[in-house]
Amino acid sequence: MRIIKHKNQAKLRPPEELIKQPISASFQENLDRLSRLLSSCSDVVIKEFSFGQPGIRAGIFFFDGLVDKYQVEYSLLKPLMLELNMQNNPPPVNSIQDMLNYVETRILNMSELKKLDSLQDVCHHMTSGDTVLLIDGYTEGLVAGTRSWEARAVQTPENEITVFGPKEGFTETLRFNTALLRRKLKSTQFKMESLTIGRVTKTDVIVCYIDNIAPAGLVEEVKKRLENIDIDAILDTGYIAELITDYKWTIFTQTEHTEKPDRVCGQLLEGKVCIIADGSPMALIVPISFPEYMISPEDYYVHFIAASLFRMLRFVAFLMALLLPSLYVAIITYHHEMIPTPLLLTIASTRQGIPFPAFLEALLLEFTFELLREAGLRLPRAVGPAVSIVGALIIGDSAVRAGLVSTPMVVVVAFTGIASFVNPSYNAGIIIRIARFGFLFASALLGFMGIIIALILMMLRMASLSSFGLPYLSPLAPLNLSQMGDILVRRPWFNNHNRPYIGGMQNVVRQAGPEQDGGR
Amino acid sequence: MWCARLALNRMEVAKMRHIGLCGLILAALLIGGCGKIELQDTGIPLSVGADLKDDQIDLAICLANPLPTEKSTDNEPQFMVLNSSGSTFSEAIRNISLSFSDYPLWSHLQLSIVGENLARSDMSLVLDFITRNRYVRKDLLIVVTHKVTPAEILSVKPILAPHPPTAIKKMLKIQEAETGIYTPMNYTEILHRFLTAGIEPIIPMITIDRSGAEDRFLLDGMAVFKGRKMVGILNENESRGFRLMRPEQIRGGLFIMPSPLNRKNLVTLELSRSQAKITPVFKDNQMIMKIQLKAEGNFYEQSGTDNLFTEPMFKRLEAAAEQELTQQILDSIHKAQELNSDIFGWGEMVYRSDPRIWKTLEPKWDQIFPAVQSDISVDFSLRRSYLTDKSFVFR
Repeated sequence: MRIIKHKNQAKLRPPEELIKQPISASFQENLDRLSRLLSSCSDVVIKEFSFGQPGIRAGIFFFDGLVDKYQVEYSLLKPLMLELNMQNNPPPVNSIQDMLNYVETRILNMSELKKLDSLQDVCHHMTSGDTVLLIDGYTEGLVAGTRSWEARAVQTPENEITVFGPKEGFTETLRFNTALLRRKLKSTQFKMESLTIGRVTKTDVIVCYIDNIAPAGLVEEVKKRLENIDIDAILDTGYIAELITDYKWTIFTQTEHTEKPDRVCGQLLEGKVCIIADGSPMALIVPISFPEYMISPEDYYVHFIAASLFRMLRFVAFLMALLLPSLYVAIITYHHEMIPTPLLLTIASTRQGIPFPAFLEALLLEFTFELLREAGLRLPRAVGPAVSIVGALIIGDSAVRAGLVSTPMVVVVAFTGIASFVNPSYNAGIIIRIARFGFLFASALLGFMGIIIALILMMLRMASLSSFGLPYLSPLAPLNLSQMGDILVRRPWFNNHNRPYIGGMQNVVRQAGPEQDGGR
Repeated sequence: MWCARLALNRMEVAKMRHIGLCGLILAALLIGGCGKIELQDTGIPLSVGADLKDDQIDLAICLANPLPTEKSTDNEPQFMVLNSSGSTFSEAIRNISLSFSDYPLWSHLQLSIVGENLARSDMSLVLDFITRNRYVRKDLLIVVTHKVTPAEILSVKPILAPHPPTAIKKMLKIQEAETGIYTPMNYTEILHRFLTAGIEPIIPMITIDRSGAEDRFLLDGMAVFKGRKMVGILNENESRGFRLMRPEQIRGGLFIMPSPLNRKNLVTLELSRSQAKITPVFKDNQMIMKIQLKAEGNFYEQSGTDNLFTEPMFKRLEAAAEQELTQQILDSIHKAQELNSDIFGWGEMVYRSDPRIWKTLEPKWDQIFPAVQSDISVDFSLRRSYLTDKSFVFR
């Protein structure tokens, strides 16, 4: 037994070695090798046939479900098996010196055809949904682009809802996504460089940038970092975000995710680089600075005065979502003198007989809110109303009636919750949610002093970060007054002549000079 | 050791920094909770009343009674009054702690009520404690009781307002803007008046009106001090005169004068704004206080049907108003000089205009002040009569 097994191993190469082999001139050998490589792959289709007079052995290989079978049958098999023979004067196959070339250029009516010469390429293309044609006697094969599978159509993004502006969103299919971008940026300067990352998933990752706007160094750096990734799988751009950021051990994310092509285009036009990956509807934008998290793409579509006010509102909401519970706890446990007497009396009257200290009460309610929020995310649609009723009635109303929590605390936590949903960026929302608890602890320990210490620590940390060389707090720190016009307020388009500058950018002029401005 | 330190590479330094930072945060945890007072464990004193009884400080503290919102419709009073006494203010306060369970939040004290007995004997008994208490706000209002004790004042249930101190505070503020009689005095100004030479304290007084079915607060006069002791009372008219001579611009207040056409009828004017300018003038070794008042007002009411809305009548109205305001000022000056208390701060004005002269005057200011002459000129202008431009004619 042992000997036989040993012999078998000696005879048959292991698959890792087999796949590195080039395509053999013998079709039979190729067929054997591929059959072994693809053994136990129940979705593989191998169709053997012969064509011409006298027949030449050939075969097509593809994975079922990834290809358009109609196209395979009518554009690949039909020309070879039927039309070649039905020509008026079918040239004898022997007379053609290079049959492979002849098939590629004269017979197959397909636009996407490529030659390949290794089994590795064959497998890669097959798994990507292409169809491979191997012809006996040639060390090269033909690959035909027949990718087609059931995919989600382009829909309105569910998580980034805007009133104005384009409504389409990215899907899981990379080609759809690149098409969405290309349709908006009809320029040859808009580049999409492709990479393959992931040892198992072999995910197609595309780096998008506008050549004469994005700093060359930035593009190089992004590509370098992507090439350095060595991981078995990239299932979402979230993997990439974590792998390529400068500072990894921090809650302050340095990339932005978006489902909206218009937002990506807006960022590309400001010199950013966008990374999209097959299978992920989230595009990744780098570099990003923290103040940019407050910007919604919608700001650029509505009237600039309204947009500026919305943006200021968003900054206020950001501060409220971050600090409101801790400010409340600090005031009612340390700084009673800071609120007017009638307000203090109102609060005091609601706190009669509350069994918990204010800090614990805030912590419990915040925790409850996070629970409800997390539960709400994953609720099956049928139980959604039930959970809202439990959340609103039982926790909100009954807890107050039972005297477990005080009403102002419920108001504060609810207010904080609403304020945290104002933020247009989910990433920033996560930062706020985590930091809020830190501030709560700080305020319970030292009151306002604790909040100030925590704020200083947070600002120090944020100021020390950078995203691909862009300081995390720019343009606030280091201060760049010329760019402030697009942070707290939205600069009107008629007055917005330059792109916001990021290091190394060459082409900063976005609009004709101010002398052409005819506005009053 | 040195070598070891030098050998630390950047990573290790960074690691040490992180450890240091964690240490700092842990240290903060250890000191955490200093000065922490849960709101459930507090009592909120809104007013402290102090009086002197048998050489003991007699305290009445009005605490807010925060009722749960569901119960606030009940007839339960929203405040309670604690009483205690001790030989000093601090001891009296301490005695309250002996019978009351919560921390008092002195920062929300709104009103300090001083009993007439205490005011007439020595104000420093109260002021010293308030000055040293770091929680008490310096805009605390002060009133002196008239014929009643602070404890009695605090036991009156106010109309509409939930707590007596809030009611009195509002009363002081609103009566000044509406009628322009008494000037509210806050703690900062009182302390300045007590501690500065050449200016004497004056504090509004409060009493209880027992004529109705229920007791009511009644603002009644202003207590005039000389040094640390109360020496007399300004009546309503004198208080108006005092207010007119305040150094800052005053707004609001009504005053009544006889109609220039018919002395039996009365005319009410509203003082919209008024600014007094007082300058000490030395002439022939005699000091004259030159008081210039520039006031503006509106026509408010008349009790007759005379046609006052003519150009010459305006002039006569203004002249009558000037006469009335002059009289009020004169009344208050006479009263202050009679009590020999420089409530107008003339001494301070002399010091400001010429510190060297004040140095010679200061020791004998008590003798000089009652005889200081004043030269009053009032310039009143009638601004408008609102939407009514004709007198009513009743048929």
